[in-house]
Amino acid sequence: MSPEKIQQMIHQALPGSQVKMSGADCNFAVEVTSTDFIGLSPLKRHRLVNDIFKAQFDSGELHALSIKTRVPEPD
Amino acid sequence: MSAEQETLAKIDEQVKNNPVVLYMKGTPQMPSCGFSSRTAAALVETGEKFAFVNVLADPGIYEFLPKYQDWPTFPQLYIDGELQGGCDITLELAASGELKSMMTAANAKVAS
Repeated sequence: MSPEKIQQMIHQALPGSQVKMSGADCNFAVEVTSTDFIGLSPLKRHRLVNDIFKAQFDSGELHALSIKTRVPEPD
Repeated sequence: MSAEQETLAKIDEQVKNNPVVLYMKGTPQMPSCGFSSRTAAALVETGEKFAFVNVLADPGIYEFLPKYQDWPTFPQLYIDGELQGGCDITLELAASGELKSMMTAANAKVAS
């Protein structure tokens, strides 16, 4: 998967989110900032992101995704 | 029972019978993947007891563990029967000190 594709899928699933990417091939690290994470446990936040790539994990297209989740700082 | 049901039942037993269990690629001494290596190291660092399962040594667990709690990747950490998460979450819990206290509490429950 390309980093652009990953970024695009996260933006689509979590509108208004900010995504920082690093890594290559099938091992990526993403840092996602989204208001959708507010009030969620770390496990639930990661699930939100993992679920976006369910098909890619199932097919083996994506092996690992290192995830950092943040909520936006209040203005 | 199908191979899947049998394996899921086996995993369920491991998760319920061990206060802390880490499913990882390789072993804490010989990890086969960077994520598993960092996660196991964080657990060792706490000084608390934990069990581990090498998913590479058990093809059934390797195949079906992602379905058990609908979590797509390895490693997976379970404390007191509950999925905590993978490498990222474990390292966050370790950094905040929560990991050690959760492991201590889970291990104490069994000892008493």
